[in-house]
Amino acid sequence: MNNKNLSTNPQAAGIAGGKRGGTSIFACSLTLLLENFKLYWYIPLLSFVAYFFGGIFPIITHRENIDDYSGFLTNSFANYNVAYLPLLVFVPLIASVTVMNFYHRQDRAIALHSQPLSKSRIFNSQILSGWLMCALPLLLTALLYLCFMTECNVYTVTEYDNFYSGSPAAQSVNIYTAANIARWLGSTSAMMTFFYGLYTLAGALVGTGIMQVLLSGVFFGACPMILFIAQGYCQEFLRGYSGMSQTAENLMIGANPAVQIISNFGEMLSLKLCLIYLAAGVLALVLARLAYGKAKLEKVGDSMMFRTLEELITWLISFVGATACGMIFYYLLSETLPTLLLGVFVGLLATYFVVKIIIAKSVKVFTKRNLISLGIAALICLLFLAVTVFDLTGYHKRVPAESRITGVYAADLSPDGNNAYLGLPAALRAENQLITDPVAIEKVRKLHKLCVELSKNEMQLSALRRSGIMKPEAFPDGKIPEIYKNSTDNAGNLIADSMSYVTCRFHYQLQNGKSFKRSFTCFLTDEAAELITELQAMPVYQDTLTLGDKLKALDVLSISANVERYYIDDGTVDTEDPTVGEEYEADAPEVMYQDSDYDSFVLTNKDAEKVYGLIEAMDQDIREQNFYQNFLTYRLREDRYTLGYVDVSFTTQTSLDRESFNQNPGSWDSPMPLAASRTSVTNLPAGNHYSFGFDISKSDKHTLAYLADLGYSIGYGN
Amino acid sequence: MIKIEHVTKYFEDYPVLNDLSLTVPKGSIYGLMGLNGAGKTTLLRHLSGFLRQNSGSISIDGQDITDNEALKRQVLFIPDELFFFRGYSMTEMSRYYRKLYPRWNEARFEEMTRDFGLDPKANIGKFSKGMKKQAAFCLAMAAMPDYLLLDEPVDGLDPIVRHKLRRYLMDDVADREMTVLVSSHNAKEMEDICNYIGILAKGKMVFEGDLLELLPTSLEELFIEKLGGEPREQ
Repeated sequence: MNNKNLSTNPQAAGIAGGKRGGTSIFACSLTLLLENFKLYWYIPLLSFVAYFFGGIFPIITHRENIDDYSGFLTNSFANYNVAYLPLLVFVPLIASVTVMNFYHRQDRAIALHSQPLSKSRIFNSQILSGWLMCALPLLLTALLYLCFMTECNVYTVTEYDNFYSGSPAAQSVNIYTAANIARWLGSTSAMMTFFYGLYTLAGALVGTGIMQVLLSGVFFGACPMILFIAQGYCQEFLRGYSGMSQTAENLMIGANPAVQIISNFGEMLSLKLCLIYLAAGVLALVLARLAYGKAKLEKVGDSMMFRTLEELITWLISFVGATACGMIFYYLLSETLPTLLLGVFVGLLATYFVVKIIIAKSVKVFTKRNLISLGIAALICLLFLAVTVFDLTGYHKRVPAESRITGVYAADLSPDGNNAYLGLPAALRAENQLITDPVAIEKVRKLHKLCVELSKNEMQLSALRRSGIMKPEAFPDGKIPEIYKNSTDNAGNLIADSMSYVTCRFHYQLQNGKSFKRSFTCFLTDEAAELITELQAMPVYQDTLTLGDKLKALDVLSISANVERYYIDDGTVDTEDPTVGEEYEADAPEVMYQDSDYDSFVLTNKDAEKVYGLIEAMDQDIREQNFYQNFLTYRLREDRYTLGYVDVSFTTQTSLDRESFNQNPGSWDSPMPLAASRTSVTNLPAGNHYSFGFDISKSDKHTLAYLADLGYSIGYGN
Repeated sequence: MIKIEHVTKYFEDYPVLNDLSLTVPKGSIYGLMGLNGAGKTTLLRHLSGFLRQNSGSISIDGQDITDNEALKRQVLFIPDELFFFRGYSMTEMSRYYRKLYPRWNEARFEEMTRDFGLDPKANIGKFSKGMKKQAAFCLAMAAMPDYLLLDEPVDGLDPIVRHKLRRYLMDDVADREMTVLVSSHNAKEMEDICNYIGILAKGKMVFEGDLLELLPTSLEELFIEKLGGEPREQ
């Protein structure tokens, strides 16, 4: 900023370039800035004290055993800390409401605007004061972090991998570094600026401090709330809804840094996200300046500065209130359509008039003008209900024409273990393998159409919500399908429970480059079950599910596996069995351990061929799956008990993706080390590390036989 | 010179100033009179740069006051609703004013503070309404403005203070050609200090003229004649 603009000397005002009305738009008054700090010094002070006791003090007092506080430090640096997160949200609000009093208190507004200060100078000085009140405690806290910096080590994710791959002792990572302190300061400042900008924008649109607080609350939660409500309605009522798109989910979480922090579970925000928050905060401040410039100052002290905005905000809040109330009625009173509509109606009336009373500061809100406005709010709610509840757009019936389809992604057609491999990197996942075979596409379309028909059945939908006895009339031809013959009672009714229906997901790649997704949870007919079975028997489909060939095609540097078998220690397992682990003991010292629930053994990289053999055995089990038969035996259930679990780790020369690293960003108990979480690719000694796993059940005969050949029998106990 | 030409101002849909014009010659004291809600305060708030008219022009020395920092240094406005920073004393307020107004006269400030019997170290927030008016007046006069805008300046002041205030105003008008625009209901008070008078009703100027030319008619009689009723406050 030009020094001449930040001046205590009144003569200096308006000297710099970029002038507007004789004064630069960046003009700032040091006099006002200092007066603000003289008046409101306690805001930064209290904020700093809270940061000190919430983050620095525990570090100072535990310097001797700081490694024990690595989790606390990690969380603090991610603002995932009981003190830091509230401070991040509320300090900017307090500062913004305080400095915006030049705009909300009439006596102060008149005094300041009649003094030799341009609007730009007043606004910039006030806003900068507030921002500095938020930023200075952060800066001081960062300096204190630097002053008390000491080595604080945590285990990295690589150590786990090295353990199973038989590598020497892994390196620990020091997370208490200047770089991480700088990252904390940068990310916190960016998020603080975002909140401060948002609250200041709210302040510029209203005429009182109370209204600023209320509107800030609306701004704070509006975007995630609306998306959350829309998601709730679609999931509950919109048949075929396949879940929120990744973009919408990112928006729901990312629209509010506080939600982002919570959903990150102690992981620091990426630089890109920080820059987005910073830019959004600055943009909000620019919008606030524009709103202030456009505002008629005679409205200072009124609830809202702009009449149009008053209606928009009323509609927004009414919509959220009405739809949320509808859901509350629906879940708490009864899960019926009339209850939902009653809830929406009650919520709309209550929210609308409460908002109007607050804005008008009077209970005389039952005017003709307001009733028209209420009608518009009701229309917005009706439109929403028409789309989500009544499916006005025909969302659930839509099946793309064959000519529009480029391919289909292997869908999660059943819960019978066809997607056996869990936690795979995105490139290897079945749902990301595009099938372009026209026969397969047609079968998927046919199944899709069947699902559309099946999901229309209200009796079935009702049974889905309340599992219990389902009479034959609930099925299209009036009798229980053969596939449910093992699940009927003496009267011939289906005993419906959570295992009686399946979720079929459809994901088409269209020729225009777009995706088309649908998901149906429905009871099956024999025709649908046979269609799924046919589809799963197709080699093009099986190729998407199996892994052995894909792994071999990769430049795998090392591969290892940890095999666990589960049992209940009722004496049926001889934990001293000399065959268990004997063969591999020399390769992997300390790898054999047992407890009352499971034991395990490790195949190191030296036994890579055996790991591949194990995967191929599993692949064979996958190829021999028969959905129809499985669904029948699924009724018997005993085949589905998990007998064991195989955890495979592998390293590749080239990166498959980065996504797999972000799947396990840490937890409350063992947060991912900062340095390892986002930058693990660069931290690892060589290659790209991935892991995945699969369950072993009684039906996986080839896998069980292969393990038995290795001398590791599974299938004891229950 | 203050020049207001065909100014119209709406609050929402309600016209507060309606095609209003007036001229205040340099070095004069112009009295604005009118019933409550006539638009006096609104007019002064326009002149101070706080409000902006819907149409028409307002100029002081030929310049628009809005966002004009250089011009605002010469214009002081004492509104009816006074504002001082919370917890500030007159001395602290004077330090703030000194930074804003280049012609700040410390000696005058001290002299006036003494004359009005105000404690410069005391918290202004603890002052009575009248004392706050005196404090605001001391600060304004010490800034040595060329234009002084006063909204109901004598409300709540005792006769002695009113007399002192009148004297300071007259002296500055005589010595420095300060221009004063003052609004009041008090016809008697206005008669004592003003050269010119303007009577507003419903945002319109219903009378404007030199006070000497009115003689022997009193201002109160004129007020009643123009507005058709008794002045609200005397």
